[in-house]
Amino acid sequence: MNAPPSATPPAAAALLEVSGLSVAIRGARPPLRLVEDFACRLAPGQTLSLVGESGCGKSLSALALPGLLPPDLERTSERLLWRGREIGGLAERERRRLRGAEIAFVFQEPLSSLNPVLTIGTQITEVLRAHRRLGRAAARARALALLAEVGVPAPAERLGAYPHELSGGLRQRALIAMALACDPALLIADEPTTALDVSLQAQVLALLAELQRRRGLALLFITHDFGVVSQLGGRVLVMYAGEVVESAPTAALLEAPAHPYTRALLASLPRLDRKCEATGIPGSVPAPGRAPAGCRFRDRCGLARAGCGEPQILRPLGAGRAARCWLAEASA
Amino acid sequence: MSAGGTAAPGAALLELRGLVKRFPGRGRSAVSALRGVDLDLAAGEILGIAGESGCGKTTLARCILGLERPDAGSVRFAGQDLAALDRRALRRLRRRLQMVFQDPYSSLNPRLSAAAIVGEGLAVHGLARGAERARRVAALLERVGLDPGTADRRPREFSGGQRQRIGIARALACGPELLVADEPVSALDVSVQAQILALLEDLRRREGLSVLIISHDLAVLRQLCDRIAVMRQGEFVESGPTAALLAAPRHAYTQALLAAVPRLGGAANPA
Repeated sequence: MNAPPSATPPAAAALLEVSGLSVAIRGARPPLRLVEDFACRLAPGQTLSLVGESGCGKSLSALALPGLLPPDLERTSERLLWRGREIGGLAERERRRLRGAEIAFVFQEPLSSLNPVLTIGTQITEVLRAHRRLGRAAARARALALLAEVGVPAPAERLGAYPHELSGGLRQRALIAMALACDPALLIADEPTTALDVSLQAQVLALLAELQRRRGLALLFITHDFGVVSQLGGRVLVMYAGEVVESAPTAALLEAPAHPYTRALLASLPRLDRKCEATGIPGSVPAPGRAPAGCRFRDRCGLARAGCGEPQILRPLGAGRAARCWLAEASA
Repeated sequence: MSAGGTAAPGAALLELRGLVKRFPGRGRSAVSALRGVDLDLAAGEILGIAGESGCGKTTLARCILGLERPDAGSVRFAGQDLAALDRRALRRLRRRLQMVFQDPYSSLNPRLSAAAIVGEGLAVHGLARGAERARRVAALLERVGLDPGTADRRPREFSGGQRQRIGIARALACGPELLVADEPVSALDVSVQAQILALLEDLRRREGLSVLIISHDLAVLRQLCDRIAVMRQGEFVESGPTAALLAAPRHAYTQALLAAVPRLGGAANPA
């Protein structure tokens, strides 16, 4: 089984348990897999970050979980458990109910995720009326409470505002309010702070942390920024060319990254305390189906040697860590 | 406050004095994007402008390029006052000061080949034609680390980092003395950001190019700037040599900006 070993004792029952998940282009011959052998586990209140460059399969993995892939892609999985129940084979109707009630999304661009011709209030109450069957007045009262909860000042006035009348930070808060409307157990956030300034980003991250504490929300956070990962804590999955290449508790991974790709990503991060590696990572992420055999990173890896052409598995290293690199050493 | 206090001795390549730009508000009050900005940039210097959305950084860049006419104050480039130039003179001057944009996805014409994009400035300014233009385009692509063999490809066939290299090659085509780069790496993966920043630094070292780089991310500016000026609501609140400014920020706003930069292993919340 490829499920990464859990860092914490398996006290809390998992909300989500996934193994052997692949995303492929429907009907492609030869088969073309964009995500391969993805696995993760999330319990209430936990945070899991997905990190990697553009085109590594982070967003596709997250979209595949609740069945939100575009029609030309298909998902297969060994195991896809939600609260212990297999949801891999659910019909669209049931999946929609799951998404409405249990799993919510926040996307990167607050402006393009909101409908420009509807007021914020209409967009939040729409969700409540559809999934919760609330009446007009009750939905409005709930929307007001949600905006207040996510720290929108003067929420009664904002209900009547259109998206363009709000600042970027307020728009992202409104989107988070919308995502929370049906009290989800899992929030999937896809680069929600990438379009924001650093100080707004810090505010949104603090808000998410507070919501997690208050609501016991599980958070799946997609980002390419290790600075953000560091603030989120929890666990990290590093993805490269459609595969999870490293899985570890965040603090341990930042302290001693095990996979050469993780190390290269960390070394190229612009930092205040020193100059970063000027080279970044040479080359670019291979297109699907173009990755070399064996380790997919070996073309760009400074440590590559003959053995790297052999198939690589996500190998447990102890202390809740695993890496898809035969050169990675087990931690004490 | 002036950002010119620490300018290198000798004639500045770019000199801004008391720059003011207001945009008339619709019905309501006008917006003051720039409220009296002074700035000196020496030849061969890399200067960073830090600040958040709406602080006036981009308006500043547009005034420097002569795309926006300031309401008061002056922009002098190589001793010439931009306001005193007629259209033709301004156009000639623009060859010497070029822009690199934030988003390499939207700032390249998707219908043109890399060669056409990079060579457009040479054509517009009548600097080279035919085989000579092709030869210079190939040299430009090579200079920014792209394979000249890819010159016929369209932007969508390039990665984000390669597209930003095309944007830089386009800016270099007419032999500028100053590049103004507005958030040149914020749309790129970290693995590529470092390469683009290194390229800008390399161009300065090898060719003495001056760079004015605008970013909301102090960690990015830290990588290559000699000096940083921090902008807030249309004014500089603090400026100084990079190391000194980051080590001991004096203004509360600079301190707040620094505190907001995510650090590895810092302030992680329990999850």
